[in-house]
Amino acid sequence: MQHPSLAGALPEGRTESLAKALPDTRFSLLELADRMLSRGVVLAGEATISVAGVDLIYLGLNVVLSAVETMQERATPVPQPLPPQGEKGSSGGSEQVRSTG
Amino acid sequence: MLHVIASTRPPAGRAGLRGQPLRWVGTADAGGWATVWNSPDTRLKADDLLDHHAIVEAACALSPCLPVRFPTWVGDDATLAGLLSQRRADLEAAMQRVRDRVELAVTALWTDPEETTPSTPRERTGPATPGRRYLQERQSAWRARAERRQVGAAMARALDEELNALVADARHAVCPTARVALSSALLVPTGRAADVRERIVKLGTGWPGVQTIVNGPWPPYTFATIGEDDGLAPAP
Repeated sequence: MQHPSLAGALPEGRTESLAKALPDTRFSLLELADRMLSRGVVLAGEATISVAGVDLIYLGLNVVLSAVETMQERATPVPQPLPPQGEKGSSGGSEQVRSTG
Repeated sequence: MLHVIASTRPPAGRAGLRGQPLRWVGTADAGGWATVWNSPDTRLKADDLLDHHAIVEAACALSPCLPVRFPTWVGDDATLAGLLSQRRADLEAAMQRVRDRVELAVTALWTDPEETTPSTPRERTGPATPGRRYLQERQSAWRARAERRQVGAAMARALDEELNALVADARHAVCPTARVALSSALLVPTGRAADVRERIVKLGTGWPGVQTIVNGPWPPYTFATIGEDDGLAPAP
């Protein structure tokens, strides 16, 4: 069963596990989307992977949606394929700190 | 489209995005779960993003996994096999790092998103000319931002101290946007996620001026990094 607070935020038919992982609001869904779009393994250093010299769709590193706040302003996160020669985005110049426990 | 790198093949019958075939490309040790994209329509939608997440979750439920940034397109099986082969050592190391671990996301949102006047305003003297007023406003905003950064950094330190023994890795972004005081990703043992979550919620209730939201557990998106892309800047 879908979490009540996610009514309207999650498309119909989404899994219970997703609802459990996103307990709060639409904000949570957008934060997960931000993770998928801006984190994760990048296998190739280049922004595009080509076949026989023809560039495929731009990987859309941080360009599509760069921050939770930006995403929050959108009704739904819809990543759009970008032109092959698009510019790389940044994470907004925030102070990033990593620590190990 | 590549979704995840895992050490287990997808179960028979598991479909990729939009019901297209889900293919395994790799060796006996590790390989990628990839949708064979037959559709001429490559315009991605929110449903595709969520289905990608479902595939990643399924892979991570079976074995250590490394989510791949969405969307990652690879031309053909040979290209993917080549990429996996080139980064094999890095991928194996990364998979060991996230083995039996999940990610929790902590976000502290300012309850008052406006950067208001600092708590210790300086005495103002002299006529309030437009130029002087402008500079004073700039100074005031700068001081408010600096104070907020201090508060966010203190929250990050508090998280580290509270969860030191439970968290394998933590990455903090202090004031990444005007609305957010702290955005943290925590890599925690799968079996301790509920405990860690509870501790964060309890800790967050003691932070004035922010609303603390804990999301997850979900696959270790933030910690799926290899080689030179190995995460954020090191701690100073």
